[in-house]
Amino acid sequence: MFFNSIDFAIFLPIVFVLYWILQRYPLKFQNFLIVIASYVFYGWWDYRFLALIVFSTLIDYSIGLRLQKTKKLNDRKLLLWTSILINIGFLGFFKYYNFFVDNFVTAFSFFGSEIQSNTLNIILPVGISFYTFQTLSYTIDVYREKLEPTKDVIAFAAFVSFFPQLVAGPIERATNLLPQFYIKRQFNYSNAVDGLRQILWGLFKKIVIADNCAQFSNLIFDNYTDYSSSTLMLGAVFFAFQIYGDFSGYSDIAIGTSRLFGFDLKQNFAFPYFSRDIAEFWRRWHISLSTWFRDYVYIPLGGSRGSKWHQIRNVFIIFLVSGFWHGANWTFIVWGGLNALYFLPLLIFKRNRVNTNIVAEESKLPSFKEFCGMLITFFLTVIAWIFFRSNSISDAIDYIYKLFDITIFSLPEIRPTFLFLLLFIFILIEWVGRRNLFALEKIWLKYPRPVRLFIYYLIVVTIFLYGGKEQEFIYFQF
Amino acid sequence: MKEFIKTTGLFLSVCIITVLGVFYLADNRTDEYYVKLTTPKQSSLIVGSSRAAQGIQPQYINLQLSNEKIYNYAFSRVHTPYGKAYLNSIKRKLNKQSKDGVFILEVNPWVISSQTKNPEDSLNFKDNNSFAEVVKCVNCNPNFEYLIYCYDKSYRHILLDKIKTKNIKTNVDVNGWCEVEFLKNKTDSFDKIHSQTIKRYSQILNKYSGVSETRISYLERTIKYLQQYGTTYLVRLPVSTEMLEIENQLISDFDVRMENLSNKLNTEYINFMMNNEKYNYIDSHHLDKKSGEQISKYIAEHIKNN
Repeated sequence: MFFNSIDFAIFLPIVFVLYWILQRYPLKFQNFLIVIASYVFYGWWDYRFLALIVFSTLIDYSIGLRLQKTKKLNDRKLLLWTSILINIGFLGFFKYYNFFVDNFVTAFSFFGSEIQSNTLNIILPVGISFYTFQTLSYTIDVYREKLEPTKDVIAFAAFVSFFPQLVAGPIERATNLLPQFYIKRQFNYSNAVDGLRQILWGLFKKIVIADNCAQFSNLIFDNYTDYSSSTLMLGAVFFAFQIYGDFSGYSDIAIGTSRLFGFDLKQNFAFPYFSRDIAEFWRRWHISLSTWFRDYVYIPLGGSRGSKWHQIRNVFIIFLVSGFWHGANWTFIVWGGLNALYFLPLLIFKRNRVNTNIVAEESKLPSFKEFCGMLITFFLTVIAWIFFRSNSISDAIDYIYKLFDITIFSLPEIRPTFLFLLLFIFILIEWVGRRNLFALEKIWLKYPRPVRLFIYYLIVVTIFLYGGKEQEFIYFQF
Repeated sequence: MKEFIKTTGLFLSVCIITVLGVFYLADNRTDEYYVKLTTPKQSSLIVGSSRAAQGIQPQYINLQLSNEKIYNYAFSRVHTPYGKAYLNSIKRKLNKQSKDGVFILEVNPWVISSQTKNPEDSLNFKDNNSFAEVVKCVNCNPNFEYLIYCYDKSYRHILLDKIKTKNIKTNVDVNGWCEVEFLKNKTDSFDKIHSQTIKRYSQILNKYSGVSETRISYLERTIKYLQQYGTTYLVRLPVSTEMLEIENQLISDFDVRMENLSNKLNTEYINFMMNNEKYNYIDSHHLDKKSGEQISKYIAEHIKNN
């Protein structure tokens, strides 16, 4: 079920009303409803893969309980690795099997040996990368004794399958989300209204910004050999906004929906395109994934401790793994590697934690230096996105090569005026709201309620009239 | 909680009213297909691809029909090749009370071919997801099913006046005929449009896996079904010689197949391809208005004499 579908528009109010009716009954009824609703939500796409979620839930629940009883370090390690191998095993099979087989065959043929390829026609279960990481965080935290294992299997199943963030995150930590299933949720009017506001902004980002940008970026990327440099640059910029609108829009809808049910999820995007350097960008982009890798991979590897070479190695590992997490294609790995290269000078010169505050926190406009920093960072990310979007590395290199010729100074062949205007309004609202958790959180609160409602109505009308052709959420494929 | 539901409900009601208001404005200028799915059920139909949609003009045929008027229910090669989806849509559109209808089935190699790897892989035919399959009510006005699930533009286009692309303006007539007008000051030369179309179709040809016996069997079933309600005619509209060459690469024995089918089902096959150079085309395979008129009159005369 997509958040931007009629099905979800019917599903959500039904679950919402049932959920709050159950408030008068014991907590487990509400949790049970969440589990059922989440399975319906997921099964809407393909019910066969529900078995994977149920299996993963039962495995990690049982391992959690066993970890509590087991005191011997070796036995505990064995349990932890069992969980990791099972979860990563599923992920590896469904997502990376064909990639490894293909590359294995290519590598052998390079050395002159032809071997028979046995790739399979595998369907990638939606959201597997997200819920796998979520359940892993539980087992690892229980192993590290940061978290008490749960004895409530329904609460745990609700935590693993919680429908707002099941298929595309944010990847919640067990330490944050699981305890919320133990406490009775009370309906809170302002929280719910905040949730609706965040859903509205998420829908605007997805339907108006991402879907419209997608139309043009797809056209340009699919026919890049036919266009001038300036058009190719525009195509890459459109893709940058497409992926931001798509993914952060999804996160906003997920967080907003969770709020309607009394849950508090972590912020996943913090206005990343206003970052002044790449390090800041990665503190603001897909925060739940970056912090997951930081806590469960980067820090165990030694993090920023040790020699410079160790630090550089760790940075590369983290970015390459992060790239590979996105998909079984070399383009994602190169995208990760390129970002590591961008990060490197900041690490070497110890400039990676310079910009930790919000840009222009005390003023309306950025300083010239901040503006230049934002512009350069945005340009670097746009170039990296070309690898992310292209079908192959050679396509991406060709695209970038074609970016830099004399036609960069010509007018782009494609000039959708309405989209430029929408993007301008979008950036403006995001800039004004950059100090908040999401752009719409507080910016119009000073106005009387009827005025606010009218502004929200205008946003709804804009979504309806200016929505682009429906596109699947990009991150569903990860 | 009550306050929340009340305010949200009120707000959503206003939004839904706005949406409905826009949907009620949808009309024959919304896109090339919408209005055809809003008109009443019909006793006589023209079916086929976009060549028929804009090439066969019902007003000239209707001059020769005594009772029922013919309606142009042809769409496009992509949305309505012969198959299960289009047959079901035709069944829905047909007024089954009349038994003396006239049915013109436009045929060409594209509408009996397939883009799936295996041409008989009917589960993966693209038209399975087109409006022909999705829209169950083909005479509802406004047609919410179409607008919600199948309309592939932004809804602001419903409010904008005309279906206008860079070079052409389209208008769907009350009888289903799709009139295409070139905006003269913006129009590229015919030669340029012609060469672009030929180039595009040469590429499209590579996406097709060839003739589909499944589609031919559906064409056969469509003819048999319509014969229960009147007389059927198979028509091949003309295209330019270059386009014909591409089509011959797709199905070299197309005419033989159609003649066999017409003999088998006792229906007439009118093939305009013999005189294809007599007609003018706007893009190498869609007839211009004047040639469409000539052909429509010829078909009308033919129906009258039979």
